[in-house]
Amino acid sequence: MTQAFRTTSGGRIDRRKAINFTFNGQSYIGYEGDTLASALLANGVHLLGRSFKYHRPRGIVAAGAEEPNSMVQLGEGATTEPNIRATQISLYEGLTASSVNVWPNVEFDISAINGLFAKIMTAGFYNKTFMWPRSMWMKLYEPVIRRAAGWGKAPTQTDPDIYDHMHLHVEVMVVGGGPAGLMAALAAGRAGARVLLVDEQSEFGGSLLSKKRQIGAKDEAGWIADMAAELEAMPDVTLLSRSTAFGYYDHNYLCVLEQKTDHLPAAERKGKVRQRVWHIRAGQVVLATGAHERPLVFADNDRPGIMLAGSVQTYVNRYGVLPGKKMVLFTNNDAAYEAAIDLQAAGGDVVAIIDCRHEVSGELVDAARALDIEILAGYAITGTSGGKRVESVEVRAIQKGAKVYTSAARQIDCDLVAMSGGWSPVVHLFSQSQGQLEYDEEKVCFLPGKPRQAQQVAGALAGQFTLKECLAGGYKAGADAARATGFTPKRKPAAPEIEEPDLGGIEPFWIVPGSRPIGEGMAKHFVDLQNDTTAADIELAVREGFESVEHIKRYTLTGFGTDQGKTSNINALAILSGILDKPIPKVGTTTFRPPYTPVSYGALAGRNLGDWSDPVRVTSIHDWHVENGALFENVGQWKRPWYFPKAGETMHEALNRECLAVRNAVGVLDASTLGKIDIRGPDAAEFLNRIYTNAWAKLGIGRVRYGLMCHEDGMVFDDGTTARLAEDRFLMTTTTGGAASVLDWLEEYLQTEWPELKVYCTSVTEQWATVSIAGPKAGAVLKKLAPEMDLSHENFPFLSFKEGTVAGLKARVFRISFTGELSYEINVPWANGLALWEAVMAAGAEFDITPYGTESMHILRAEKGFIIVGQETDGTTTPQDLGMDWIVSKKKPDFIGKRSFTRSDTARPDRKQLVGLLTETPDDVLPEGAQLVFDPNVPKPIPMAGHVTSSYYSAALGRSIALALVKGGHGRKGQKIFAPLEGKTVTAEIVDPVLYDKEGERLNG
Amino acid sequence: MAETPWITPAAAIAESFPDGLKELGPRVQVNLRGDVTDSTFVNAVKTATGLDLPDAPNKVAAGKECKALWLSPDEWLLVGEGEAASLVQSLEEALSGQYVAINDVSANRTIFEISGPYCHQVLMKSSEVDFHPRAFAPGNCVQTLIAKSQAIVEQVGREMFHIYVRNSFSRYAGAWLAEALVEYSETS
Repeated sequence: MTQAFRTTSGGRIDRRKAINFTFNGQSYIGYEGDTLASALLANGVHLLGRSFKYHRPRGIVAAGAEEPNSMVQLGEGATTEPNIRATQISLYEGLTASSVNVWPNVEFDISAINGLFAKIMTAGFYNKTFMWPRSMWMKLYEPVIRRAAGWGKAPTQTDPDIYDHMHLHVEVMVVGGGPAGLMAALAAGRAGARVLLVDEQSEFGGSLLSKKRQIGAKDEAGWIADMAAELEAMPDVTLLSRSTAFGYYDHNYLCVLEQKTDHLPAAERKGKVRQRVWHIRAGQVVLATGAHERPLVFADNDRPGIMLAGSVQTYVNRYGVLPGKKMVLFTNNDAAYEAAIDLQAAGGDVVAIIDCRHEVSGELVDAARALDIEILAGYAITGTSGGKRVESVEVRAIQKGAKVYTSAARQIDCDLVAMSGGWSPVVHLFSQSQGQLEYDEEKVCFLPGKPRQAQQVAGALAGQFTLKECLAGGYKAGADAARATGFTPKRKPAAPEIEEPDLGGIEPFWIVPGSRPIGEGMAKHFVDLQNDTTAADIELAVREGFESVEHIKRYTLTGFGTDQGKTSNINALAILSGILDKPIPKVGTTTFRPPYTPVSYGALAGRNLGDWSDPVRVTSIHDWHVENGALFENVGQWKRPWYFPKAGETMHEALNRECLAVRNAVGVLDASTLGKIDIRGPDAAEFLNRIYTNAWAKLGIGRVRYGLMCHEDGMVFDDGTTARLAEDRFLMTTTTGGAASVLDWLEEYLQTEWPELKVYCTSVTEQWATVSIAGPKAGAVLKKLAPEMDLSHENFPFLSFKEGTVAGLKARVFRISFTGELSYEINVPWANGLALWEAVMAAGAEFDITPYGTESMHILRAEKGFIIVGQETDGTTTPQDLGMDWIVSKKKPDFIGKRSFTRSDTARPDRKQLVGLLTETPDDVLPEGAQLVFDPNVPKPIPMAGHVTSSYYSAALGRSIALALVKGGHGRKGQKIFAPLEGKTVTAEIVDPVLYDKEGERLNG
Repeated sequence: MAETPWITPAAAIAESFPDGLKELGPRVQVNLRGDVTDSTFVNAVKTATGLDLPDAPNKVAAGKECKALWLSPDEWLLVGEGEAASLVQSLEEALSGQYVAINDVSANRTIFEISGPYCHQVLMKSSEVDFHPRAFAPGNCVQTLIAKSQAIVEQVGREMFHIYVRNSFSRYAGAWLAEALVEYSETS
């Protein structure tokens, strides 16, 4: 049986191009232009899955994004995707899909037994059931019940596909490529605006793809083709099909997901971007998002073969598929009659139209009568039967306006039920843009009210349900949008003659009355098919005290899930309105949030994956480090050499070697990453006086000083050395990670607090590559490289700098030290960094010059008790806490942080203060971050005394060393402190943080 | 991306650049700050460089020896050929005693050039700024992000842009731009 339900002609599929695909292991054939859903229906497959809670058989309900049921697992292996709607999958050669939420298979599903326990699986089932006993969580609830209720499976392998993002600015963005959207784009495009038109479907046309209409001299297909051709010819009009606007944010910023290759066979996708997220900034947005049809709520309205009437019409007209051959239509409006008429014309048989309205008349009603279709006015479907497919319906007359039957049941056999409860405008994006909705009693739907952004609405979204209204409304919206963005619209073209039936009226009808109260007996009146929420659940929720629509949503799950209640929200709140006896507008709606339809994580991540997650910054000497086996450490965004192990060396051995080389001979460090800021202007010294805690006015030209910066709260936030280049000019260095935030800080104060200061700050971090040499032989190495430079201590003392030539390169040399050894930091223009480094290595070879990384740098400075901001400090540490009172000026009238030092909290004696720690056992290296206590033997919880901030093995001292912040630590030198670790408690003595060369004699080599 | 860009030698990254992307050789770049409403300053700059400093945002003023890119109301990047030191020196002499800042930043940034029919697409993938010809044209520059790297983008021709990024970001930005072009290289 191949495509037994395919019509012989008609539709927008190409019957010459057969496509092979597999569903649940079975091979089928469809045609180019099909969706997976239409191809399955063409093959008579209605049963696609099982429902969320009760595991009832479920089939295709709709034809588009509103589909609540037909979620499938698409593809296999790394590219598999769970829970994709079959109605939104373009068929491609080799497509493989399977049902979700079924075990062992969709035909025989064990969990369907849940249906027998339906009485206890009501609203709030999870909340009520899984409370006790707690131990069952891990054993039963999570592994078993969660699985039974879950949907598809997320892929476990890395996604091999490529995703990216693009930014687009337009004057007019049109969302929705139906008749209204096409007209809007045309109007704006002709006016000369830059236009973007997006549509989620595989082709433009919207509702016209599903209907037969004559527009002027053209039929619907010809008209769509003409429109698309004219738009494509406009150079500044961008057309994106297969593209869903999924999020509408402030300032007319919208996000669109374009599916670029999802419709292609696997072989044609290779190397191409699969999905692209477009970030759109639009001057004006025209929303022409159309409308979704509402189901009717009646007993057992969920069997496969019960579909939305408009979707039936889509399958017939667009895909050449008869979703059934014996159809019953159930409706509360005239427009749905067209589905019956079209199905009959395509060769199907409409056995009856059940219209819940008592008086029916109009063009479409007459047309149905003319086809000899039986119309039962004032009737409703009160029950259905059939196992995996609807087989018959039970209908009864109902009393007008009352909740009772007035006739006995009549059985009508059928294989398809088309239903229509009216149309709900797709207000999702409008609501996301913060627009308020207004309820329209006559059209029985919520319509957009006043927009909150620069925006127009058109088409069915705006309640323009006829084609004639859509074309006029669309053109007007597009022209208004163009005008609002400064363009002059062309004269409106004459309205074409349109042949379309009078769509008649609608009567609200939210739930079919029963002989027994809803919820009694076995029948279920489903409101939300995806979440298995019934009308009885909503009643129960109200009985249990939930009245707010937001609470009802959460308690009953109505409107959750991948479809976000596109077919259920309005029915649910109308039913709620009936129960509460409040008008619908008073009940209100739930909040619409992005995304409109699901977006994969891959698409949201775009190219920002792996190494692209964050920029990796490297110095000009980086390639040398890589070639010489450096291991790297992340410092901010920088990759800095961590240490340089030699073959066979452990980390410990490498660090010992590097540190001893600095202490005994000479080491070399790439220090290019330090932030550098040129500070210039007549008030530069005054500015530094206010920024740093110490005094700067009297620093001599050519001299360098170390400084600490605090925030207003008195807490240290950066440190570094600053050199005076001239009377009005300084070069500040910052920490590697703090460079950008320090510059921001300086600018903030200059621009907002002290605009009277004449100071300019210029970042020159990457103008200069910095090679730091340290150790007793540092002077000898520099002497070889800069024979002209006077390195005598008198003429080049500690904390000074010189300009000159080093290794033939123009350089600035700073005599500063972070190791405690004689040390020079040689700065050359960035591009010369590698040349300088190699010259230093060559000159130092005779002293066995040793490159060292950040880890050895940390050890060397810790031996000297020098802090690292962010390691010894954490934003709650004052200079005094660090024992650095010497750097806090008592004389300066003010500087940032000064007033905070006299606050009682910053002045209290038991603050955490920086100390050194020496473990009782010299080989014990405390873990950094270890908590410290004064007495490990007191009952738990033991009062915390502080924590270890830095801890290393010091080769120079032949033992472990640590720095720590300890409560009242400055007064506790000589006392014992304890680190209770897993399995053991380490005892240490509190000592001065300076552990090596306390006298500072080594600074001069 | 097959290999981690930070471990790949810079030269190898540059070799793999597709058509339409290259890294330019060093240019003279001098960062200048001063008060554009002060005619003494403006005239002195004109004397030293021949340039009328642009006071409109995101504009480039071209002179004989060099051009000036507007960076902020009191900041410009002077870009040219030749010797940075002599440009700095002539500015220092002309502006002596004024409240200004002059910094040789020739080594601070590297310059990528993207060109060809797809350079707008590359920018659309990389930046939030509107580079459409209606909004941006030769003679415009802007400070923005290229992916996640700070950058100055200058349009130098109808289908040609210069992208200035900090040196430390050059591998990231270069690899990013190359990747952005791949889609078009294969189809063109």
